[in-house]
Amino acid sequence: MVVNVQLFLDTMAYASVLGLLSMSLTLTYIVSRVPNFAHATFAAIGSYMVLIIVWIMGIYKTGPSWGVYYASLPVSFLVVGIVALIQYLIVLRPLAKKGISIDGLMIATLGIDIILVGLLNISADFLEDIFQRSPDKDLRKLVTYPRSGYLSSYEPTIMGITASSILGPLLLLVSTIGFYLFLTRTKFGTAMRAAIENPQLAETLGINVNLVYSVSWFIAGGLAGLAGVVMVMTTKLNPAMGWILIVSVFAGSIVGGLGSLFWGAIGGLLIGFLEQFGVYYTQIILGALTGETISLGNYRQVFSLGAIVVMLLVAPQGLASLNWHRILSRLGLKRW
Amino acid sequence: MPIEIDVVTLAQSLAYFIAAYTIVTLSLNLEAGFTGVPNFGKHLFVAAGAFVVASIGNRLSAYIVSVLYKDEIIKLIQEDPLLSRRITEEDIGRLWSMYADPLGNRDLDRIMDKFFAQNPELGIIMFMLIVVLAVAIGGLMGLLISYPALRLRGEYLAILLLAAAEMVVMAIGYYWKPLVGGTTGLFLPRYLAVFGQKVILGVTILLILTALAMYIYAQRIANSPAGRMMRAVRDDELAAASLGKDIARVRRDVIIISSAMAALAGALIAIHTGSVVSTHYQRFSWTFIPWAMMIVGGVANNSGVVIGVALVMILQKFVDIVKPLLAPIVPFDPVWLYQIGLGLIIILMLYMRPQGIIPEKPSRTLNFEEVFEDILEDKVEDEQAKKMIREGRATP
Amino acid sequence: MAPILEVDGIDAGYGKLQILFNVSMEVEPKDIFVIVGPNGSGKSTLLKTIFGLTKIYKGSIKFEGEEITGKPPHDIAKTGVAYLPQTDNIFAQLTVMENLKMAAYTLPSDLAEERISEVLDRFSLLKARLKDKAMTLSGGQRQILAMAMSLIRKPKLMLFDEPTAALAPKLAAEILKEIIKLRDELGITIILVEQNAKKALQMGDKALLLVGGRVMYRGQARELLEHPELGTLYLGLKK
Repeated sequence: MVVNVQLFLDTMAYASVLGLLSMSLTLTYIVSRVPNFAHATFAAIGSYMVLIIVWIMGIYKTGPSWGVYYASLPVSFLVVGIVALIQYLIVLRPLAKKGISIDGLMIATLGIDIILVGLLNISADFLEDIFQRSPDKDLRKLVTYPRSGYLSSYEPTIMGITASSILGPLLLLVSTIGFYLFLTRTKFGTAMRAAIENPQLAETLGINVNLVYSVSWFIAGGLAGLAGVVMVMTTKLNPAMGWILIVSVFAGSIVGGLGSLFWGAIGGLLIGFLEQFGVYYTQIILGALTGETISLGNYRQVFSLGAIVVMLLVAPQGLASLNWHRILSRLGLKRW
Repeated sequence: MPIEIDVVTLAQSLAYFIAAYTIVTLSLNLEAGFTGVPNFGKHLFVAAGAFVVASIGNRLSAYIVSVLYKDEIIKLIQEDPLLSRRITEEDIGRLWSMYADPLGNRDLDRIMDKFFAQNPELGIIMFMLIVVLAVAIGGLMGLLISYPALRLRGEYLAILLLAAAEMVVMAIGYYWKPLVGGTTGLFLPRYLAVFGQKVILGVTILLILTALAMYIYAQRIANSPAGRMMRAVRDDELAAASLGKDIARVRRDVIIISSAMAALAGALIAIHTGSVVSTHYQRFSWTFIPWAMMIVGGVANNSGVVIGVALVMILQKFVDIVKPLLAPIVPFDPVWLYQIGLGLIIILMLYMRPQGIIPEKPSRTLNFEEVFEDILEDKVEDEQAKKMIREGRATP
Repeated sequence: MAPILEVDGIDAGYGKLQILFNVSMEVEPKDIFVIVGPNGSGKSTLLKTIFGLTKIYKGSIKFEGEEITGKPPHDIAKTGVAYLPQTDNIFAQLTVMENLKMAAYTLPSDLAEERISEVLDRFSLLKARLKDKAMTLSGGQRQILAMAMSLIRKPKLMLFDEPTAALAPKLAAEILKEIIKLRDELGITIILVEQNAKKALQMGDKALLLVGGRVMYRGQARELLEHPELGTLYLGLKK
């Protein structure tokens, strides 16, 4: 079979995660003009919320449940949104106001990442401790989860398809459309676009630019939290899980051009597919050449790095900057 | 509970860390402080040095030994009761690949160590050869990144370098065993058997000397006309565009040299430790901490950097010492507190004293009188009028 | 009549870079007050200083007798001063209608609608372009939109920073005509910084000549226009 169906479904979940993360990263970049190196760790915090929900709601006893979603999604959105808001309000905004250079702001986000990973490590230690001492035999089984848990065993399936494969794309779609409507149809959303484009002018018109930026950071964090909930269904839980994922997230944002939310989402999706199918076909080709079974899943970020390099060389402003009318007409697709 | 501190060991370990971090942080400061290259992938260059030592160095040593000293090595293997059963004479040709494999590495390491103890001169030659190789590869990588470094905007460059570093270290370094044995790691031969039992002290002294040389070099750059020009360029993109090629060449050279220096540090760290494990070359240890040291000490100020390195390292040693005291009290590993603390320190430093403990020497800022004079020269032709305006008499 | 704006001995600049030195001026209500001078002489900086966008080291600025020195721009805007920067005076990514809505952001919605339709009646060319993004407007139309946006808040004093820069001569003349109309029809006081000194001095009542951040002339616009030396020296006016 040329296209593997299960691979396609897995990819849908993973690519949607990247879509959400690249989109929300782009939002923070548009607002604050600094690439947030802590963004993938935002998602990791969301992932830990799922473990906590599995524990507190007793899902570890009952098995797969929709609870992992309907409880985790809002909790993650809120918690990570607040983390992002704190990062903006008490770190980035005061530093930017003091006139700290972009390098300084970037290293500050790197510092936040270190702090957040440290806090996740402390939480993991705590959780391990609690699980280990628990009289509940089922809970004791969770002891390895805080540092290397696959939580996909607790998610329900829909007609034999894991929920994340359907929910991931759905979340991405709903948030993209929701965001689009919010930005174009509401007064506050319009003010948000105005304040992002020209904060000085917006300020003189009486728009509270600070509020707008705070809301942007909250939403961006919230979306990263949602991404984390889906992400933990495809990846092993680990406090530093964001450190390698950030490569893919940046790749998606750069492919999208770091200037448009829509293209950020597209960039993330493309990177997800590129990584997964790139690995898949490279495995097949190398396998055929060497006659051995080759597993390259751990090297998927090679494709992301390649995408970053190619994009920065060919079109540094990302896909959004390309003249799509001309490309489509060259390809003879103008009518479409 | 009383804490026992072995002062000699502590001092030696502190000296080692300070020397190693001084080299890396000075090289970071050359890039980020002077030329404005925000290298967020510094750990890649340190890892490169260490990876060259483990990957190429191990293979090369085992190969040379198995070809030039075949009889001697066969004898050593036959004397070893465990290995003599596993490795036959025909395997000698594969010795180089076995030694770079985590499975064979453990066993063969005994033999290699014994061999270099018997042939310390060859050990010194191999050591120098491998270190030069690491430096050369580091420099080549610097040349490679100088292409984007001179063209991309700072944020993109930072992202690119961080992504490249994470990809090489966390993907390939962790999982591709043929490189440095993945997360299991590889032992290295004891090249510097000449130092006898004092290998660690010897390498520490080498590191200190390298750090000193690096400091002198960095000072020379900082005080040269090219160095001043680079700082001017760093602060003004327009000037960068107009100054053009000369400055681009100087910047490229600085990037190459600082990358080579980081690789040199990586190589010496590996040889000091006696092993290379990919997980030791993470972003936190070799990118974040050097940045923290630079920001604490003072960006674009070499003596500040050294002070920053010393302060952070002393803090780390302090944490190491009090750790056993904290461990029973808190239900988690106190090492996380150190990480969180460093993150907070960086943010607080940026907020309260962004110029660092020892600020960069101020460069001349624009002076109104000069600007005024330029405008006059530019716009007013008549000498008489210029005079009038200068003297403030030109009011109607 | 009492001056609507009094600037008294202002030293101002950006950070440590001082641009203005001891600048004073008084603007009468319903005047068109013109600021001229060679490039880099601090004309735009003076406008920004009035609107609170620079750092003031010394001196005071009063609007309608009230101290506004050191107030943030949005507070100064509330007192009835509108500032139209040379560029970036509209939201290019937003539609014309959205731009107007943003200009009326702080007004209650019924009043906002009323004001928007008022300015649309005045600048009818915008009516046809309401749904277009502002970036698709021509240079002249953008200036009109910017003017419309500031009019929504019914300002008493409008500060124009080179509104005709980069416009074709014919368009520039039209924009200047609109500015005169704002004064004549709505009684708005105008402070105008203009590159084209001749045109500006012809339409202005009072004028200020800045050179190197210092006041070189202050008085009637017509007198400066006809001054034997200053015009040729600094403004490139031909006799």
